[in-house]
Amino acid sequence: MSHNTRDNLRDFFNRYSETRRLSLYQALVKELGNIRGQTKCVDSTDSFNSLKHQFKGICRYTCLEFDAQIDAIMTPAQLYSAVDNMFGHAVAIEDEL
Amino acid sequence: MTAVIMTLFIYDSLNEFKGDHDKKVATLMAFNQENYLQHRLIMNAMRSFFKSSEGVKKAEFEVFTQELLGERKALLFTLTPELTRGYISDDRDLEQLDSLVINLDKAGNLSGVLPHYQLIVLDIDEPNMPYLFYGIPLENLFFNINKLKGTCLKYSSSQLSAESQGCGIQLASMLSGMFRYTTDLDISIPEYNFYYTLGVESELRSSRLIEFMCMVLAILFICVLVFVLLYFKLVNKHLFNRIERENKFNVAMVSSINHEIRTPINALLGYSQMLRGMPKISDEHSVIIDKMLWSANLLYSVAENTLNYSKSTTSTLVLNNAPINTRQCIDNIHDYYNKLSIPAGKTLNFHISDKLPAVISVDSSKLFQVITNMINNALKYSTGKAVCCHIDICQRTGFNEESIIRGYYLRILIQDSGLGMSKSTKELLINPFTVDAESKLKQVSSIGLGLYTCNKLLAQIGGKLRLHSVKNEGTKIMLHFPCQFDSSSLSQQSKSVNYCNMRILIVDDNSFNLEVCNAMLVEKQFNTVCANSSKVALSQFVNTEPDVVIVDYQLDEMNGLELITKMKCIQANAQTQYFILSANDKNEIADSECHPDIYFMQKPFNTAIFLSCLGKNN
Repeated sequence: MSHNTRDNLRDFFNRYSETRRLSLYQALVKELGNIRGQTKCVDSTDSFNSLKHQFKGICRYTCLEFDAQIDAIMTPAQLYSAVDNMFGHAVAIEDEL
Repeated sequence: MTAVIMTLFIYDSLNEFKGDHDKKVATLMAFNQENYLQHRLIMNAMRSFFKSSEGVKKAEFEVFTQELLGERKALLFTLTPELTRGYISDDRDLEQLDSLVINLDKAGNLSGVLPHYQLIVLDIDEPNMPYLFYGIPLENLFFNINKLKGTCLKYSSSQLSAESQGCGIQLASMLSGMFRYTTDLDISIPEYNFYYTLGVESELRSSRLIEFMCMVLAILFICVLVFVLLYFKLVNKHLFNRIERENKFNVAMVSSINHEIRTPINALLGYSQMLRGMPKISDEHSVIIDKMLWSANLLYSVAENTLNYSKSTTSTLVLNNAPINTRQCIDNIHDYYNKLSIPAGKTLNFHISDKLPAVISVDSSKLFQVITNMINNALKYSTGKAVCCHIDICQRTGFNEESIIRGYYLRILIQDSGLGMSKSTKELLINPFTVDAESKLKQVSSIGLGLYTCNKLLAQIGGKLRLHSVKNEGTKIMLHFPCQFDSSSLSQQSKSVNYCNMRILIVDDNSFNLEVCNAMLVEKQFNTVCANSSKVALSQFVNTEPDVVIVDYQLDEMNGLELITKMKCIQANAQTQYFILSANDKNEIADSECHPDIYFMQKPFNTAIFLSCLGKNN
């Protein structure tokens, strides 16, 4: 019963009504885009940790959170990669919502 | 202290010995008084005899004196004015008078000395024989004295000095001589010119002396023993304090090491997970990655066990109960094994009871650790293929013998179908680090800590681990994990409550989190208002006057606690209930203890937990 990121995202959105799904989706994409954009210009450890914390929060809500995986992110580049990866999966399922 | 006790004892004993001596003196005085009266009576009788008779004849004298003296061996004799012998009470004593020495001083006073006799001279009314001598033999002087053991009587007068038989023997005993008491009594009968001194010496009897010495030695021994025991108690106390300090230091050190170890293990797990999620990973590599994940998890479990082992051996384990969504907690365990890819050929099945309430209060991290430890053991060591985990809830009295209070317990049964555990493996429950020399799984690495730690952990938090293993049938492990469950909350949950009149202000600067939280609450018919910044939140707070405020801890301009403090200042509505939502545990938030009226909920927002806390006083 191994779910990948995309399946988990689908499961998450399917819990809500169709009208609610769209607003949730837009909020998710907006936040992921913000984090991804800010990760590019991270200039301090504090701002990096803040972005990582925000990403961790999103992962928890979408049941994608795997603490070990988030803890493994040590650099802005890794964070960017992880956020971009999730952003890509979210965009990919847009038509299904 | 010993000196004080000894001084008191010796002082008391000496007083007692002196009291004994005084009693002896009093007894002797009584005897002497009796003798004194008898002698006085005899002398008075003789005087009266001569006074009332004229020309006393020898035969009359003899008859009278023999009647008077009776069995006494005393002498009565008279002397003529020329100091020649007159009458004598008994002619058989005439020979003794040969050694009589008479002395007449210048004042005309007559005195005499007769060996072995104390002579008393009486002037009598008889012109032919004006001098009457009363001779008291020495043996009569010491009459009855020998009846008192350990007593020496010394008689001393102008005529003779004598002492009783016991005096020589007493002197020979040097030790008892240390406890010798002497009393001199001056006795006089002036009308007969008779003066003498009676010296009484008594010393401690040997039996009393032995008793006294034994008591002294016993007191000395007891005092020394008490001091030795006190000394060892002090030494032990110091040792205990030192061990306690060392234990605390060890736990701190193990915690520190554990923290340092877990960070790279987490990284290893994370990278392995990322690696597995990457495209174009061959099946062969996938198997290797799964093994890496499995091993890293076991390593993580060992690190956790080591920390809990240290804590359990020093009794510093405490339960950190918090409301959790039961299903979600069990799903987490389920997901843990799904993501791990359990060893090839083995299966793990979960059976969850329908009776499990949606929300219980439990220490979820310790519950997770105990369950995964036992399942890991079953997957790792069991020779069987299937491992089953049954979870339900029960109510029963505590496992402590004195406990009579019924409490709720999560009951977890982990069952495998292997060959069963050997006797020495079962010993791991009470004796960690035991190695089973006969085990067929010797090649499987193990430090024997998991079973012991879980058993100890459960015992310390009031739970119980029961192990039942049958050869060739498998092993069953029953865990009773204490939890708290408000049965009334379940009935409340089952009722359809209308929340449409309840206004909730949700504050989060992350629009996605805000939207999800809002969606969950709208689904429950709550009347929600959202704010994506603290400034907007304060404005909405004034306008809507919400019944409940849910605030994210990390906001843009201030933290959640600061925002709630401002809200409390703005509005005096004490009915408003505040919740803080944070990705961190309550203990990790500074000053969280200073706000007992605020509920701390861990992200992600969970409706069941929220509803269980709603309307309660924290």
